[in-house]
Amino acid sequence: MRNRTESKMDNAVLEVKNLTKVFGSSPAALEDFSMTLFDDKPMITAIAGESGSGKTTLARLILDFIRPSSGEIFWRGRNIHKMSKKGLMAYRRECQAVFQDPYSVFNPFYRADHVFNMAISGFKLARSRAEATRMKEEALEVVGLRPEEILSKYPHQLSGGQRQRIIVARAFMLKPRLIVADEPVSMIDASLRAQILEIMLKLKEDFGISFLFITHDLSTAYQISDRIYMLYRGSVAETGDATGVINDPQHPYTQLLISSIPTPDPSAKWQEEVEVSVEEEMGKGDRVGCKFYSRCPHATQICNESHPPLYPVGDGHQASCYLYRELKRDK
Amino acid sequence: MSGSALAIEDLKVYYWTERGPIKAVDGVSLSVKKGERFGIVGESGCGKSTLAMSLLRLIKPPGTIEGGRIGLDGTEVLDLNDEELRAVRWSRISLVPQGSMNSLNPVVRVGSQIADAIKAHTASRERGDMKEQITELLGLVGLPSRVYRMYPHELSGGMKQRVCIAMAIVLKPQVIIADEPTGSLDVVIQRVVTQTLVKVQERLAASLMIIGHDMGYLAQLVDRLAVMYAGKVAEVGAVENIYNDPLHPYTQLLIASVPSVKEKKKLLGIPGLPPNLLFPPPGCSFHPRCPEAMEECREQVPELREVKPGRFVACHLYHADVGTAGEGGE
Amino acid sequence: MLNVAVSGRDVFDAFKGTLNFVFRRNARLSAGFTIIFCLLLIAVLAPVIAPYDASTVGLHLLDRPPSFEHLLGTDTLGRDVFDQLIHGLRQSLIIGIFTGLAGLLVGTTVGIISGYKGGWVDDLLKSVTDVFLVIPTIPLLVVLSAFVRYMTVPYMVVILAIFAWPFPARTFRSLVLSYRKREYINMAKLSGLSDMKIVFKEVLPNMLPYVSTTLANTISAAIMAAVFLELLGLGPQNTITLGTMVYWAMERAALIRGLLWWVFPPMIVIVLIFIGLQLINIGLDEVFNPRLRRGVTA
Repeated sequence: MRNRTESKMDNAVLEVKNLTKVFGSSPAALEDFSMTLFDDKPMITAIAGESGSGKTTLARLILDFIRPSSGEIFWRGRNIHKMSKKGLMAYRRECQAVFQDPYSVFNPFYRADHVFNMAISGFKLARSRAEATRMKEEALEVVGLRPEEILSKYPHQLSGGQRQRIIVARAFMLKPRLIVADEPVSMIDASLRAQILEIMLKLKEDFGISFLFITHDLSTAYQISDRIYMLYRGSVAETGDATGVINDPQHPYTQLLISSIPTPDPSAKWQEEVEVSVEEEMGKGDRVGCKFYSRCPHATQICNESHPPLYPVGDGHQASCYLYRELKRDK
Repeated sequence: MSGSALAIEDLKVYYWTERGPIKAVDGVSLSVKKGERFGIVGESGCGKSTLAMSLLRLIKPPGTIEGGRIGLDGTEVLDLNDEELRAVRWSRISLVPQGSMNSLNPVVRVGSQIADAIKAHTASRERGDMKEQITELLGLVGLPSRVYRMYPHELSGGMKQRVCIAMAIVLKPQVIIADEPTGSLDVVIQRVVTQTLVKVQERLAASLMIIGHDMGYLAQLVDRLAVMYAGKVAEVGAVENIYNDPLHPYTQLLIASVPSVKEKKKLLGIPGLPPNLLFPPPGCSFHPRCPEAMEECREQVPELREVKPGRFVACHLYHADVGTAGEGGE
Repeated sequence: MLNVAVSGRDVFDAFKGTLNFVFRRNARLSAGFTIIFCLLLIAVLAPVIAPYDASTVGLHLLDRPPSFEHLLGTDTLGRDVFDQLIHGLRQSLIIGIFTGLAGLLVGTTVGIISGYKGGWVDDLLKSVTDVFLVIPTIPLLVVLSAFVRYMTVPYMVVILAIFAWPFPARTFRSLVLSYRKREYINMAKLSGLSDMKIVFKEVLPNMLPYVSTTLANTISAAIMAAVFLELLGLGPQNTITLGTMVYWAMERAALIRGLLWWVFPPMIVIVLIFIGLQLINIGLDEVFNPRLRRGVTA
């Protein structure tokens, strides 16, 4: 397949096509991943998976921190790997990020306002000091922080929740079209997560910003996402409307995952013992065929022979499992 | 509190800084019964990890154990001299520290590391055939015997954590403390490691103290639960009671902030910021964020009192003899 | 277009912080700093405080022990020893500091570019650095110095600097490799900053502690190397340095003849410089690496 400079889809804002990334001689971290985000209305798309699923790799590819082994990424129809410097700057401006660790994103040498100043000077956003200050204050207010309490402090003087909100404010300040949020609340206490998730919803609803919400926590994904992609070992296991997929999972892996989520209800404990073979744990899984084969209670011969494509299992809901091969396609 | 495997009374652990003491553990009293699974839940900064370390007297300067008692089946841990302490550690009480799976020595094989743990705590004549002991131990935690010859980096996170559990139980202690034993593990592996922990505990007929921050996770696992906030215990009780009828407002809010996968509802959390342990709020440390805060909450520190059989709570709402028209109170 | 990234406030903070830092944080650091500061002060004021002209031969009576007029006596060539000591200190420090700075400057630049860019640039620079590190320094220093017809202070600085830069280069390359992975670097990339800007504004400030320890190290190594060459007689020919003082004293059999006031003072000062720099080094290490600290604060 030749690399294209332009893609054919019209109102697609982000189009990821057959993205594959291999590190060294290990099995592919991400394999043949495709996804399209459309321009019509802002959405929160969750990319859910455990460690080794490839979700972080996907984030880094989209943010252009690493290059794929094969496949393409189109932003508003233009291939980001073939963009000029100016084009890439424009892309960066529109596609921002929030990271997992609210501690290490801050350079300890500078005060908290440095993260804003970097962006303002990097993208040349302000023409005067006053304008820059106004931008910073506006952004902080949107996330519910008071500028006078925050801007002059050093990162170590602020709490994890405050720092994460500052990072969200910084992303917002650039008025992006998409924010890639890589595990934005995993390192924050449970009681403080709602604040940040609420801000994300607010940015989507009031400012039209879409999110790519990368997480391993299906409960939070369930609460705020519109769509979800379940990743397992670099491939999509299941995808569809978030509520639909989680309320009624079709892929055996999704089912296993959801049943393993601990609920704060002592009467609803985990039922059976779960067994995971040692090989499975060490990730020396299958290379050909379905990646979930060795753990799947429904595995059959064909599952070991070739990787199942995504079959439709409902309205906009797809699962990569041969169980659904026979389903009629006229849903 | 006789008959309890572990009896902690008014324990205080402070970290001394140039600006004054950080009261990481400020008067904690708990008891763990023999053979029970006891959970301690709290968020960052509540002092639970400090508490865990102090039980084995692993606190280093600038932290010091300022006061209190730690009774280990009758033995007062804080009174032991170094020799006696070494004898008690690991053989009667052991710890799986937070993040221990990342602290395994990368250049030593797993078998040797477990052997080191045995050697450090037993005299040579008592050791016996270590290889056999270790292989048996690995089997107990669900790992195949070939792990003996492997290096930590060859193992997955869940396997490493199980190695750490194995290291903690080499001398068959009566009290095992596990600090965030499934911290960074995937949900399914979390389940496997937890199963292992329970199996080990039942086999040794030991008491297990699990420290964590995930209310959902602890509900699955423990018999009784203590909720910690700002270095103090807010509430203690049987796990069913705590989840079905939480008394302390902090517990209520904490449970409410766990999102569910059953229905979409408004995201809940606790407003405000965690307390500054250097300059904590006067009175009850939770009062600035508490929806039920009253006058006395700002002035008096609530004591931990038994308000129903087996249920302890440190909250003025339940102290009928304090102040004026409050709600609740038993 | 406004560069709001570094404000005047940041600079002032840094200065105030430095003073506070040096004198309040660590005993060894304060001690070392005090020693070096005093020595520097003397060196800087040398032309002012030196009582006589140090270089003119036969100005005074020969071989006189210390007295009121000649605090450290005179040497066999009729020069005042105290004079020489002060000027020698000055010259030795000049050699050390300039070599140290040159080595640091070249070394950090090479190391940072190598570490940050990676790829073939890294491979190339790393190989060059390794070559220099592997070559036995001392024989080569001796050979190069002997090769120079007329050794002066500038030539010495150049020759020593050739061997001073590889070690900082190695150090800073490793540092940059580890800093490059920090999340705030990713943040900087997302903010549209160019590589150069990222290196100078994000990476370098955090490496300042290492810059100071490396500088202290390089200077002390340079002074030792200079003294070594001077003791062999390969030092600057018409300039008085601490090493050349010892050399000439030995040449004139001062030790045997009992002119101890000529032999020992320069040696003592050399040792003092070394101690001072090492104390600074250890002190800085203890401050920046809390695990090395002993005892409890407050």
